[in-house]
Amino acid sequence: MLPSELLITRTKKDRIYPDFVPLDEERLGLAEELIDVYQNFIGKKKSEIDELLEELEPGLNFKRVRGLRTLLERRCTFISKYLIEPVLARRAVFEAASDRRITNINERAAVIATVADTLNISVVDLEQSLWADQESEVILEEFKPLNPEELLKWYNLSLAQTLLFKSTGMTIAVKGNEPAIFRAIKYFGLMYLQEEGDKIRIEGASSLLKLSEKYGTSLAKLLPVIVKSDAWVLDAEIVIRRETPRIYHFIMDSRERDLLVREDRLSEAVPPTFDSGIEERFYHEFVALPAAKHWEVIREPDVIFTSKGVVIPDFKFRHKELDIETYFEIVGFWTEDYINRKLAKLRALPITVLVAIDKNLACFNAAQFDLGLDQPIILYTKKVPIGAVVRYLAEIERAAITKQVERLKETQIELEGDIIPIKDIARRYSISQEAVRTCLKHPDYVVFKGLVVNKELLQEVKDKLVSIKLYVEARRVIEDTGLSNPDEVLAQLGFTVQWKGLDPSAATIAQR
Amino acid sequence: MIIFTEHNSLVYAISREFLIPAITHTTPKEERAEILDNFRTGRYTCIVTSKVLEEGIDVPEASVGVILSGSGSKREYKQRLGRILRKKEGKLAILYELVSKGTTEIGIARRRKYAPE
Repeated sequence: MLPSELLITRTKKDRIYPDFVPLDEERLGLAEELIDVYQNFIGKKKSEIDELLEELEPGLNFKRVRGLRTLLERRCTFISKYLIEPVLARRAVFEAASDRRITNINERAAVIATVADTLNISVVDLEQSLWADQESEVILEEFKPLNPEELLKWYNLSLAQTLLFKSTGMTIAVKGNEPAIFRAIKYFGLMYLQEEGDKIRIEGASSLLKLSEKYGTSLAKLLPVIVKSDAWVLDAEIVIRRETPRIYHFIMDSRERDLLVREDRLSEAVPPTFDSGIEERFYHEFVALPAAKHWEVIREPDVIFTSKGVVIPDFKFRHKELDIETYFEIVGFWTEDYINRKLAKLRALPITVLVAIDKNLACFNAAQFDLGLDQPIILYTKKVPIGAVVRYLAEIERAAITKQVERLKETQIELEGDIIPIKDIARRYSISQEAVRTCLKHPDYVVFKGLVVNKELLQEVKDKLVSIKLYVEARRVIEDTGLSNPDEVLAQLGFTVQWKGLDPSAATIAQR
Repeated sequence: MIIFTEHNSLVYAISREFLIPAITHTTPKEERAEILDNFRTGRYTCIVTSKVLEEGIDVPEASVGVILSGSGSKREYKQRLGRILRKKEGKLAILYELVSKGTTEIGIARRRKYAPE
């Protein structure tokens, strides 16, 4: 993307065209020349590079050269070199110079020498530090090279993106890359709607007056993802404000692919992680919550196709142990029209999605707004109530466990051995540990938190413990039997631990 | 004293040469405030600036102004004058303009002088 003032376009009737640079010998030569300048000036001041390039500019298309330079500078790392902060250096020098008017070179040198002395640096270092933060003084430290063809294709893509800044909306059709496109649309927080066939309408700002370039920027960011598809067409409405704003069509399709860069490395196609602060906040709170530790929350959304269009829920929850997962969608503040379309899609969903809806949505204030949703709903203001989400998930969890227990009633769980980890049983019958604990009732076994233990073995342990007083010793006896849960066993066998202070070696056991 | 110039490059050239605090549109906000503050209290006796001080910024008063590269604009000239001439009992302010012989500056100054209001 380029600064808007570097945009070059042509208009013809109601169409607008970005002035793409052709990949001919002359332009490739220019690109190579520019790249070489940066390549050869590593370690030099930016002002030297600018001076040289400005000599090249006359006779060439000024905006074109500036655009190419803008892109090349993005591949540069500039650093300022100074011993002391330039602002501090200047302050010291200006203060010292203020009392004695400087009218010649010797007077100047005297002031500099005095200040350098006070700051304890050399005159050369002081002179160097003094203006080191000026843009012209920064030094080119690194330049990430690219070839002339890449530069021109990157420029063309950037030019088209810059034109999209002024877009109020566009209709696209793509082949082969749809999930990536929908995901990107979602990531960039764009409003969209699937039209008949494979067309997708991406909504622009609601009114021309309020046209915000921020929204246009999101449309622009989508372009690199679109051009990566096998085949694509786009038709965007572009508002050009002259005396009266006028709408032009920017139409482009995959026949132009050879003019446009398609590599992520150059096209800056990096989607942000979250759509909104609400979602981000929810995610961080959720993963930090102990009550939610059974659930994995997945941000990478699945694309779900419905009769009313595509739905990409914000989150997916997957239970870490049980084979259950569910989706979560946060509906924020948008226009009534948008909400209605969104609700239509949610109603058409073949699966259950938990929906959180902002209570402050404009449409709620309208009389008797009917959500008509068959989905579980949480209403929120400002922040998604995490407790409600966790309660909802706990319910699903409980229902799933109950179902497993029901299923298991017919099956007799076979137990072999004295000590059996519940994990193993759960795996053998492919149910959750919780379900195992709930439904396992065997006359010969005791069920602990993580283990199932034979009653005879426990009796043997109990017999040994009768003669033991010290807690640490009791623990050792239990652990030697192969039981990893001595405290649970002690309690089960009717012993209590009597603590004397915090030292476990002083604690004793007693039979209740 | 406030020195006015037309271009940033000249501001910095003067600042470097004569070690006079410079204010342009690229001067960091805090540094700009600090310079103006020091000018107000008299710690700095002189500053050099381009167009940035002409509008909207409250500049402490000065009794001498020097225009190093004038423009043909009467409005700009008045603004610069306004920077040093504040209503105050018994105040005397002087505005100098340097017009170099044999340069376009002569024509520019003349154009402004005879331009209709």
